[in-house]
Amino acid sequence: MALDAQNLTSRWVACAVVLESLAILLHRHDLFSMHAAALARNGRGLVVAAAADSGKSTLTFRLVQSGWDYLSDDTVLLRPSPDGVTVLGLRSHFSLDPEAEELFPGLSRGREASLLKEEKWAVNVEALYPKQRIDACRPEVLLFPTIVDAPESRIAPVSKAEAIGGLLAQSSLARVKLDHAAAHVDVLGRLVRETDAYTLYAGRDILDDPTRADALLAPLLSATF
Amino acid sequence: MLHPHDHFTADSEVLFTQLGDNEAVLLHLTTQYYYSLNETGLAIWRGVNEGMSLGEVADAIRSEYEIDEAGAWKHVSDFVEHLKKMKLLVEAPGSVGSPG
Repeated sequence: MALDAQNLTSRWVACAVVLESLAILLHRHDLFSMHAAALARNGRGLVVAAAADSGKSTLTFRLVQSGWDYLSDDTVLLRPSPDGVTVLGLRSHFSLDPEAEELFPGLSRGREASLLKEEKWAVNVEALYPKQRIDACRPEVLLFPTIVDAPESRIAPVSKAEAIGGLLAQSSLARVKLDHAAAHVDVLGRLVRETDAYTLYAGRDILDDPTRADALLAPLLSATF
Repeated sequence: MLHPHDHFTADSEVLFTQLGDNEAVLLHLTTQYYYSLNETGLAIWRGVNEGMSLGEVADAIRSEYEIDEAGAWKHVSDFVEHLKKMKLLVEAPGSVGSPG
């Protein structure tokens, strides 16, 4: 397939092929990719797993603004070890709607060329918050955000069965060999066992109040002491 | 209709992962269907996949949970029938419906 830099479909297909190939290669090194954001507060990790357009990047950026360290807003790697599952950041640039600059003045200073989606901005958050990029964290909380039409956000715990369902939905298992998929599911199971899981019903306050996301989510990490 | 001598096994496309002492999930890679097992379901799944016949699994359930024989058999057979429909369990080769 010829890669036409001006053709969005070609670029999307090329990137998808590269990412899938990378995922298979990473499997061989016990690294398992997942569509999720990851952050840490005082060294304690939060994984935010959700489909596209669920507000994941906006929430992640809000938390970065509140001082949280970050790994990625979109794609992470899971690395199992005898001590537990470690999360590594895979893609560091954030993918944000141009309208997000209304929420985050100055966002365009970090904007760079986007490979995948022309309607999104690729934002180099490291340029905006140079001391908050970290390479790895040990997750303590899984969060499944969903946007709701409500003024106030709320959080509800989810069962471990629901949590692994949420993680499976964000993992590409069917495209790899059975033994790789088995190892991948095993890591997801370990991640669920080692963490507490919640759904965030994200209301308008997350957008309106810059401190709200931190106020809601920081206690989840503190509560695990 | 299931028989106490029947044996089943996990479909080759099914992955099992344990979430806690009494909770686990099954995932069928082809259908992408996933199924949550509670304590009793996990006990039945383990028994079936350890090579026990359905009758032996029902006996174990009856003993563990102190329910009568008919109740235990209904519980096991209904559950296995459901997993079979979901393609999570398949008949073990050469053993279904055969008393020996």
